[in-house]
Amino acid sequence: MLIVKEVSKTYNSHVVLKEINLELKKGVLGIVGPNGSGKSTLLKIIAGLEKPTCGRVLFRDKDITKLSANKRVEYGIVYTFQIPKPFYRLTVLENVAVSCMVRGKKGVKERALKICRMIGIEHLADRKANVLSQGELKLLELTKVIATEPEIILLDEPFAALDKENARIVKDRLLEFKRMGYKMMITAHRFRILKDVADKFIEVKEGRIR
Amino acid sequence: MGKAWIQIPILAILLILPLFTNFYYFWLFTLASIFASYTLSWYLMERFCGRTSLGHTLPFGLTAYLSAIAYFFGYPLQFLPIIALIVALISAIIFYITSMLDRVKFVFATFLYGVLLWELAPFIVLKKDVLYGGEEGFSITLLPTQTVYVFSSALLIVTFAFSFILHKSSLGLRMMAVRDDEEAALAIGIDVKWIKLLNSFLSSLFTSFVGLVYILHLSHVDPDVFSVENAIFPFIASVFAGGFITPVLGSYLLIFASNALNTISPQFHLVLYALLLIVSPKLRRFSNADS
Amino acid sequence: MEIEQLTINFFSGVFLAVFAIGLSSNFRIVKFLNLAYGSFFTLGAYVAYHFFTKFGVLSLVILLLVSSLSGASLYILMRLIGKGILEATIVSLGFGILLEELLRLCHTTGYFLILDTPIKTYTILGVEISQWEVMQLGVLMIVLLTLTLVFKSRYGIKIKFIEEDVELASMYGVNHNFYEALCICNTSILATLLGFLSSPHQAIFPSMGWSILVAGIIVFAITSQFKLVGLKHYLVLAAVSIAYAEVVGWF
Repeated sequence: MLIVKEVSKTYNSHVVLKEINLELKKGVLGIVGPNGSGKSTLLKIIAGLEKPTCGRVLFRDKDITKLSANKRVEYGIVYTFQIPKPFYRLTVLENVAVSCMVRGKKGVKERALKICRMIGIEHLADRKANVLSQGELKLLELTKVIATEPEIILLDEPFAALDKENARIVKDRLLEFKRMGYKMMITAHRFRILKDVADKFIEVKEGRIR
Repeated sequence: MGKAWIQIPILAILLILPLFTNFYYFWLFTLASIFASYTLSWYLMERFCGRTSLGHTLPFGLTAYLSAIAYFFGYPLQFLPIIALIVALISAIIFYITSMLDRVKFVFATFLYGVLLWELAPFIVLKKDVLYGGEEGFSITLLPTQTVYVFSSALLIVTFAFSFILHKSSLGLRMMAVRDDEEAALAIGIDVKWIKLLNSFLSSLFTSFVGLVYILHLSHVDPDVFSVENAIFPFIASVFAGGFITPVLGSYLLIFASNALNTISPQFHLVLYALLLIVSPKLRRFSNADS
Repeated sequence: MEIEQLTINFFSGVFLAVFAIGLSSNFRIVKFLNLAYGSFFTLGAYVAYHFFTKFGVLSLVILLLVSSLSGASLYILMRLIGKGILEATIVSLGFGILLEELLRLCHTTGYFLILDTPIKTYTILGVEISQWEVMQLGVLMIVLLTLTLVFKSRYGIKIKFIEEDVELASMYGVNHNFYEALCICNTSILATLLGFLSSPHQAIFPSMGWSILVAGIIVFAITSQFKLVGLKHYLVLAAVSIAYAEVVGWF
């Protein structure tokens, strides 16, 4: 399904990723590693938000390395940011509606409302994103991803900066996504936090898979 | 929704009011309607793509200048919209390329465009029987103010209606997503480059046609069309931006206040512009918090 | 003929270098593009027009007073109103236009003014260079020497720190407000001094500062591409300014 082949990334002669090879056919892949190990860079390369220095990304046997990030979303590969990036001056419903538009512009408000209900944030629908709490922002980030009708979700540290209660809510949603059959790659600092969600794990350290 | 629709009768009053005034005020209202369209065209870029341009004198002034030059070479008035279209295309490309810079650098770069044109325009000198251009600029035939008013009102209505409809449309929503966060917009599948190019084109297109109506109204253009005064006009006219009528009202107020202040001393209105510019960050924060 | 042109352009480049160094330090230390900088230059020319023929060199005291006062006013306005690079830049643009308009309103009798003063000239490489232009070269030397001394001193590392990351510098106890205020005031003095020294060569009018401002921004933008810090940046900026003047020949 998704294959990362010999991907390396260098910033000004500093090696961030070195010859990474991995595959995601089904289920949830947990990627653990310390800060600066290259986990986020790896996900961003898969999502098309960063370009690899060398190597290829294949999706359904098609080379998508040169494909733009927005095209990859059309293919079904969607990335969520570690620090939520909502559209601050838009309402929650508009945030979700604009994410729905990648799958057509008809009835987006209705579709958006349905997804909001599914994630459990319909009570926030008319609120501007700039007044949401960190936990609500994380849920909005997940809602936006689901609104794009993805096949593979790339989650960059979804539990970062969350208290216990919010972390539990996010975890429940991720388990629900898993049950619904979404394929996921999730990064985290520690193995423990992902053990209930991920089916298998890899560890990234100093830009290499250990 | 209700609040939004109040804007339409206000615009209608602004456009009908001059019909009951004397010639002088009719002329001034025409000028105000032209500058209101200018502000709204600029606002399309600011409101929908978050790009503050201090270089909209590029499509505005260049259309006016090139139209006057085309007229000088004997091209008929009917040809001038083609010039507006060409200038809009050129400006859109320039704005689009500039939008690859970050938002702060975009402001600096667009400011440079305007001032550079202002500095270079006096060097445009053409020879016929005598020399034309330079600091004096170029002239075209004088049209009746009533005719120009029809054009300027139509342009204001179209610009206003377009902004209003765009705000409610899916395209507008995608533009506003790009405005709030380009990377996040890309991550949910929005073609950010295309949206930015489209926004640059739309804003430039309307501004170019405003430049065309401006030259038809004044029948004369000189290098000061590229002045910093004209570059900052939409910025300060939209300082209380909320809906789309506020920048329109701001433009009318500025034109009438300028007219009143200039009776005290010529160009005295620029002191007002400068003061508004100085306090604009506070005013903008206030109006953004309000909206 | 070519040597003559190169010499003339060299002195234009020296003039641009002094201007761009001030503009650039505003951006790097205070974190804003000082769009009032051209108006400070204009202010200096007007001070020369009114006071040089009456008070001679003593008029520099008036220049010092006027420029420090203007610089301090801009700094206070920025602290009160402009938060962040963009807002501060907008405030400076408003302040620049205000200065320009006040000058224009105070001189309604004539738009273009000429400072009528005898100009002593020297012949350098067959080109007559005025005493005032030679003084601009002197100013550039003094500015570069001062910068060298500052960057070699214990304050240099603090300035470099502010240039790189003002928040981090602040966290490590560097009083960035002091350096910012000092930078704005010093560079305001520099710009007005440059206007003062240029006044015998050109017509004095309120908007005379815009063209040099544009040229200053262009050479600063070019130099920024080298991504240098500290003294190196200012040395390269001076070189780029001179090269720009040699190539463009006019600004």
